[in-house]
Amino acid sequence: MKLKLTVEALIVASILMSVATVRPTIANAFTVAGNDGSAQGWANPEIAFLLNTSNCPASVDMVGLLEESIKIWNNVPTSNIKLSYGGTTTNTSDSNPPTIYCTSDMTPFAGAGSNATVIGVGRGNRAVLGGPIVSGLVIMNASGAAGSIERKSDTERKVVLAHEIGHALGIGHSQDSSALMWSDASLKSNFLLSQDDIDALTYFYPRDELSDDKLMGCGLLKSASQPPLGPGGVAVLALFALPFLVALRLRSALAKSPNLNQLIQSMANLRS
Amino acid sequence: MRFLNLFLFIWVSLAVFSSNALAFSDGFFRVGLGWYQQNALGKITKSVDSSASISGASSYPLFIKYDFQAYSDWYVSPQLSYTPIGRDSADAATTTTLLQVVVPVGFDLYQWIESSLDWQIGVGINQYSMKGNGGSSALLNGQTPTTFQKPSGSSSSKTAVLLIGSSFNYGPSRFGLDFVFEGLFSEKRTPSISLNYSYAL
Repeated sequence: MKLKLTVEALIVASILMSVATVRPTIANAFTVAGNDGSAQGWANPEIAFLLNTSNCPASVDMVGLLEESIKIWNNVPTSNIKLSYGGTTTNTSDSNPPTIYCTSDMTPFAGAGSNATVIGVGRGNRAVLGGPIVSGLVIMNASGAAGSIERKSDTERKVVLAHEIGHALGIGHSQDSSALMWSDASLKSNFLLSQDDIDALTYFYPRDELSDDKLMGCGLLKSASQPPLGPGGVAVLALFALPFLVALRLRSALAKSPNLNQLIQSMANLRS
Repeated sequence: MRFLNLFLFIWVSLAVFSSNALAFSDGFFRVGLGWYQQNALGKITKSVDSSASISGASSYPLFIKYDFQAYSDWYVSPQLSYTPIGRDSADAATTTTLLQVVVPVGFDLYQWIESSLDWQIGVGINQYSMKGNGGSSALLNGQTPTTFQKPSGSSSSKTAVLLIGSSFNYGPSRFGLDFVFEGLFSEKRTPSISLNYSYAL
């Protein structure tokens, strides 16, 4: 008995000591694109990017690249963002929905020497300080110089386009070197978000499955209005209540039926 | 990893030094502490080359749980978790706290003479509350440093979750391993892991 108590006390003490010395240390250091820390993202989280492929290298499948790049943002479970490919355009300026296009000269967007060093630029523009984004533009380098997308690997293209789309969504650069929103893509050999990227997207576009966002991502429950508690919330509450109702019903049935109660107890005794 | 190793050590220790235990105790409250790994099992990266990480983003929720017997070995065990110490950024620019409510249905899977094992499954809600503390930071932007603003607003997301877990019981102590899934019915599907300890009051 004494041995058991000692073991238990040691276990509890070791857990408490571990917790006391371990703090949450994940780097969560995203920033906001723009001049105001309270700035918002797009008012509507469903954004269909338009694509101008007129200057893009023929060797690069821009539609496929866009679809791969937006998927990584769409799959964040805590965000309600829904990005898609909205078709082609001839537009080359900031627009709503935002445009993605390739340029033969990055200099006007990223300064002298940028054709060799800058692969892409992205931005989301606000009409008023702190307000929502009203237009956006993503420019990809198709200059043929060292920074041009046809000279980059498939992974690096996806990383850069997803990074620039992040800017168009309102996310600034990250202080976390593992983040997609880190300023240097050259060290990234895989295409994955960090927790910092996920937090940034969630900050601007939080998901609310108790209101109007689809429950657990499924498309079966959808509300057209904006009630305080949408169908997703009602369904969750119903699921919460179900086990209680079943338990109460069973208890009631057992209380009324001593034979059934006896049978269940016998089965339990047999099993143990 | 230190916490994981400790947990495994405790688990093995309990298998050796086990005592009388029932997985659930009708009408009893439990209080406990968890190690919550958000977006675990390769969902996120923690390295500069963006390679996948098995572990997720750590936070440490305190929780309270109540066991309610349905019949025989079946129990309903609603649980409320909260992280009093939020997940801080390295520069304390933002803090994220987690509030979780789940209502699992549990079953005493097996009872040895001096210990027991149970499993549970249930649905719930995760609420992540994020608060920015403002300020600015100079970061490389293209070829030159630019001042970026840190977030100064707040944001809250609520996601439905499915919890599937198992616990090992030793006297009033329970050691649990739970998998928590968000976005279950879509490509958003993401596993989080909770290792936890609780004590029956």
